[in-house]
Amino acid sequence: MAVTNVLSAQVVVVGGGPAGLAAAIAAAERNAHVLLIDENMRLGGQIYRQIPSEFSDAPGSSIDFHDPRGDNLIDRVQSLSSQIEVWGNARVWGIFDNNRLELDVDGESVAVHPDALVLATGAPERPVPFPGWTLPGVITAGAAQVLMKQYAVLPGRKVLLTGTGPLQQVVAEQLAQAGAEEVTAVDPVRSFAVLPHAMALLNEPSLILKGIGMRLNLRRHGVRMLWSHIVTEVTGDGRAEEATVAQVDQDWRPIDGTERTLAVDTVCIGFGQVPDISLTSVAGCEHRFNSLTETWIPIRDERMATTVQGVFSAGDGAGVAGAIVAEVEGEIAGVAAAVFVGAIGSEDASASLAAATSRLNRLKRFRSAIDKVSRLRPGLVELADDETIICRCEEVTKASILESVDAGARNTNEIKRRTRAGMGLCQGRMCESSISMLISRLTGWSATDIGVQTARPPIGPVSFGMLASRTAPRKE
Amino acid sequence: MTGEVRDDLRIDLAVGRGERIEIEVDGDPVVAFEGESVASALWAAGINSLRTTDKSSSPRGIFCNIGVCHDCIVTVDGYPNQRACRTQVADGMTIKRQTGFGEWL
Amino acid sequence: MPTGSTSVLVLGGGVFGCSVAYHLAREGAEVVLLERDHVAAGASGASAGMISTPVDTDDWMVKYILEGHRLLEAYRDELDLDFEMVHGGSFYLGFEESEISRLKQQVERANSVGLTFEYIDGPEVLKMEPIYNPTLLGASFNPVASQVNPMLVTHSFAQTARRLGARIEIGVRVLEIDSSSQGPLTVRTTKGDFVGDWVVDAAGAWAPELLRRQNVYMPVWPSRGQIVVSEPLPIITERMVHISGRGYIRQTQSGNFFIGSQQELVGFDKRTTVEKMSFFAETAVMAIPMLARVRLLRSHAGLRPMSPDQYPILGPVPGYDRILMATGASGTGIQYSPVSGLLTAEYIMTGTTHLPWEELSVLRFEKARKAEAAVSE
Repeated sequence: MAVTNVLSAQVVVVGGGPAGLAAAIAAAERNAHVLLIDENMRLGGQIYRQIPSEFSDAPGSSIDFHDPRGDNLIDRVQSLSSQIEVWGNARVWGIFDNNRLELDVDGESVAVHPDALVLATGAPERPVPFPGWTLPGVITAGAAQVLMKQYAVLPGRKVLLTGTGPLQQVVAEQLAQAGAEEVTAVDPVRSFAVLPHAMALLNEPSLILKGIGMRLNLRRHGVRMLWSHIVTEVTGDGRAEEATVAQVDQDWRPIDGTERTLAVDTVCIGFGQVPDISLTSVAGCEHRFNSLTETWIPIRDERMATTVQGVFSAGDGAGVAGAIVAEVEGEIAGVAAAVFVGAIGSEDASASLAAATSRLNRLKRFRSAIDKVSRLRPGLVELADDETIICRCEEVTKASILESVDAGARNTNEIKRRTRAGMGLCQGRMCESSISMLISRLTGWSATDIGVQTARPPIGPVSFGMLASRTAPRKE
Repeated sequence: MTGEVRDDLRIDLAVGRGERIEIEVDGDPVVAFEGESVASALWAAGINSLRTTDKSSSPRGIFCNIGVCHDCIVTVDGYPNQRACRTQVADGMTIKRQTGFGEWL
Repeated sequence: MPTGSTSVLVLGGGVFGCSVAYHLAREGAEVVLLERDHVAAGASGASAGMISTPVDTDDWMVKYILEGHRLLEAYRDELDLDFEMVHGGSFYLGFEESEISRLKQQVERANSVGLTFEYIDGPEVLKMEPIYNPTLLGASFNPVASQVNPMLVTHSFAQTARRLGARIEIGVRVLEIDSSSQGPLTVRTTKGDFVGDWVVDAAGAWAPELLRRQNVYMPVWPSRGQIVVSEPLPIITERMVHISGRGYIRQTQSGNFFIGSQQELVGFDKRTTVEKMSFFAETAVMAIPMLARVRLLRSHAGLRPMSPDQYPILGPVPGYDRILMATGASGTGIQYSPVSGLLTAEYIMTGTTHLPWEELSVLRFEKARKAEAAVSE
């Protein structure tokens, strides 16, 4: 019988994006031994996503593949290789007593016993159900970025973006640069009132340098920008072919008579991100609902410590605030974790913690301005009609979710049990936030009452074959 | 001569790709390059629809492309429900666009 | 309230409480069911949904089990929701000679008390279920065993009860039962007082807690049962599998495989553990090797109300004629729910039951209680 690999580690960092990289560096520079774990083959996370190792850079490439900030973080992790061990293609699927981790590493079962844990799991995009959103060719804005930045594949030739916030403009520009013939970006906001460099700060730090020119770029690259508009429907025979765009009022409700149709091959959805709290939840951390961003986030203190002893949380996974904030939060979490495991005395850490904290407070001011402008309005939830699929995995429609509420369901767990919404392969990550918004808007119940699914391992499916070959972990 | 793709969406000159290889999609040869995900290789080849669902037989393809949504599942070398976005191509790999939960027996 | 009608407060929205509410509502009683969380939030929702007679069932229990099966069958038409009942039968697999002789003995004994088990040799079993492990030596088979969706059974009782006039109050936490006055009973809750002629305590593992004021002997403890659920597959088997000492496997009508479960006495801890998950994975692969390729998608746990002999406790609480118990099924609540609800309703409405139910009273543990009391003195 195979013996489970058990590893004791001082500081385990989960997530190789800006927060995780910065946490690993900060802890390692303070003499902690760090294990940095990421699901992907290569470090960088979503934002500093690297090309596959089989690819090579070509000089004069038509789009930017590198962000100097990301390169710098990845280089520093590599230069600290005596202190930081990196596992790619490694996924934490469970957190059990004493913060013990169960992992799937290349299909092998591995148990890791950390002294301190930094969770930097990032934030996938908010799924926004509307008629036609399950058609092939309708993807998230993040999905389009992966195609371009990681694989150098054009997401489409006639691309329509629907969404709000800075990411959508970044993606629009990248699409145009990459060679898309027609790029139309529609945003329900009247016009984007936030400083361009704040937009850049949030999602694409490299654009800080060129941020001022970004709006000009959009025009120069032939991106058509439609403010106060939203995509209400996508249709097509087996894939996205045509989209309906309508002007909206300030609640983002389509104005009758303003609809027009566009021929498309790809539609990108980008209405902000939702923190991935699956690991903080399964670790037992307490969460609270942020009503401005309509997301659940772990409760943390100023040192990024969650309510579970020894578990820290940093970056977008703890509240979406963009790469630069994530990096600073990661640094604080890394230092705090090093203090927690005794790699450094708390008085030796206080100066760097104070400096990072004051930097963080300055940065957060930009964030609240963006959050206010991008705040989701009721019209967004109303886009779905009765037949629109809300739970993509189990194909549960809006009508059946509303029926379950009529029949007495009062919270996420009960809706799940009655309709199967959230029981599929994605484990509710594609429907939980939209169900909560839908129910809350229709009934007036608070998101806290509606709640979140009870978090139990596994996070992501794990193979029975792998689990069956796992034996009780050896105590080291 | 096999595998010439009519509608290739790969961005020219952007990067040097891995070795050119060939995979099979529902019996047809498709060109791919080492390092690519199944999802990106198929997208580049103009194949957006990756499966049909169990209940309503609706077509689905890539959605999140980062491994979360599980919409892009395909049968890879006989194993159903593999996420195309998190599966790397390999020479000779067979991809089947699956119906419902796939064929297990 | 029309004068002369019987009013009953049912505590707990699990399968027992909902069944009691349904049977009472059917007979015209005034029923209010109080539930702390929501219907089927506890053990009932975390059940496997197997309707099969355990081979080691005591003789005196068999009549209740058979009556339960008969009722469930009838309720497929009578209740408002379809609960996905499938008659597939159930195998007890034997991989070792010692196990085979035990299985054969059990078949003989089961048949002597009115069940219809049969022993089948390995190759024959594999003809019936080619997905089983070919190293199988033999199996006993219970052809009348069936499976249901436990959540839907519970909801079906609840929904039908509601249609028949029962009130189901969710989000109500019971604090205590006030039985101090001669007249009706008062149940004090976080949402005020409720008054009824009768109280049925069907609060599962929490049932003893609600009787704190009565200070009676109520031997019911939480027994954690973990279940793992696979990703959905096309339906490939409708027969349940048991392996002695390991647990069971069944495929639901949604295509997911359920694998569980064991009794764990860990108090009110509802977490799931990696040890049990890997143990169940081992069980799955041992019985049905192709499951090695399948992935585990969910785990959950229920706190089943366990009694000393693992059979339900029904009937009046000693010293309190109008407070009845309906709990203690120890992980087999779904299959005992129809008969438990029916007997309880019969007793309240008519004072008699169509099957004897005194032997299900908590008094059956009286000897053990006295022995315990003697030791502690």
